[in-house]
Amino acid sequence: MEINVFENIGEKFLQGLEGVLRLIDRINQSDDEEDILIFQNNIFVTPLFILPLLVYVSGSKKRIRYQFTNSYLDKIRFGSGGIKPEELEFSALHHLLEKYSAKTYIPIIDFPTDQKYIRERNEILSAVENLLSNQIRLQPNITAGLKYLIEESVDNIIEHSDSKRGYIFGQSYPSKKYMDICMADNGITLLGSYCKMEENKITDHLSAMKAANFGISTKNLTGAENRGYGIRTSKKMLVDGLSGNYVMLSGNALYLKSKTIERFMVLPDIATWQGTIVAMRIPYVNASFNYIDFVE
Amino acid sequence: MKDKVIDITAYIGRDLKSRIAVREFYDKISNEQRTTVKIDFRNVNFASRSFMDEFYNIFIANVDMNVELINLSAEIEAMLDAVKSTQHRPKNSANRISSHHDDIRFSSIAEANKYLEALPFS
Repeated sequence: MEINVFENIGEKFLQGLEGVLRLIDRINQSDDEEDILIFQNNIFVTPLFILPLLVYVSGSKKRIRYQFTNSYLDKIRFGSGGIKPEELEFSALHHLLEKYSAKTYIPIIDFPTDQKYIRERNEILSAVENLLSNQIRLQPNITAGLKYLIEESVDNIIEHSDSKRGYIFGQSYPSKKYMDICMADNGITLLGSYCKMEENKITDHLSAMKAANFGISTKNLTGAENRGYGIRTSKKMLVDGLSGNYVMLSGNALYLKSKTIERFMVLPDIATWQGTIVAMRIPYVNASFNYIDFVE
Repeated sequence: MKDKVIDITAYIGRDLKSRIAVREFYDKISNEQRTTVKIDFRNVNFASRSFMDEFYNIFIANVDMNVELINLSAEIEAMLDAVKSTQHRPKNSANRISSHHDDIRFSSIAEANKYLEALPFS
């Protein structure tokens, strides 16, 4: 079935997710083995639309193709699923990223999680952090917080997801003074990660989502519970420190956190992601913010 | 073997980011058959909590390794203190998972979107 995509996502953070949910609904209404998503030229989309869509499509049993002539989607490398850093010489990668230095977005980066690419991954993430930081001239205190938020999420992908690839995509909104960052994997989900623990009692996506957000790690050392602080500290830093918003999707569980709202939700089964997605709206003007104040 | 000062940034870079980087660093030090090391943090720009937690467990809490850390910035020192203080947290997590009773379950996407649209979340 051909599905026309007309999304024009406004400034409300969750509109991206709502758009993806609408698409999933339409995909599931089709009995065809293959669906084609036809993106209209005048659409406007956000990281919380793009990465959940990519992860959903990669985990879907149906064949789903994209068709677009939209230049933004082209520039962020949506059609190819993102830039694969290990396929480029490092100088070529830097040259490519330099093209984005005057933009307000970074392209989708599809990075390998394997240990053998540790140096390449660190270099590309540093390049991404620097690019985001320089594009909007972030103050050093905010840059440190941004690094923390990105690194903890990426480390969770590497340590827990069993995914071969991770994704990062970001867009800044200078007139609003915030940026949206989304990181994702198409791995075993939070639930799959807990199921690998001995004596695991977590059997559904919602319980896994709660466990992750209450700081229960799947890899604690015997007799200790020293891991699992990454998500907790990131949320505290983002929400309490920067007045930002935090969204996590895994399987069919959805979690939202802001200064005034904390919700755990179960989406209908058709809206099940084969992976985990973290999205953050990060306000970036705050002279008194110091990331270390939020580390516990 | 005589201990020598190791500039950690020469092995990992100025941003200390991931647990995997600590394990790789440890393998390199072990391959040099060093059991007494002085690790210099002078040129470090940033360290994540995950990195410091792994570093604590692999280097500092390792009885087979005698480690001295030098030139730690106030931020790195604070991060290290944070991971030290949370190595043995009480396990009361199972109760917390089951105690929430206000979970929201949607039977359709239309219902989910209607709820999300009304939520003041931006």
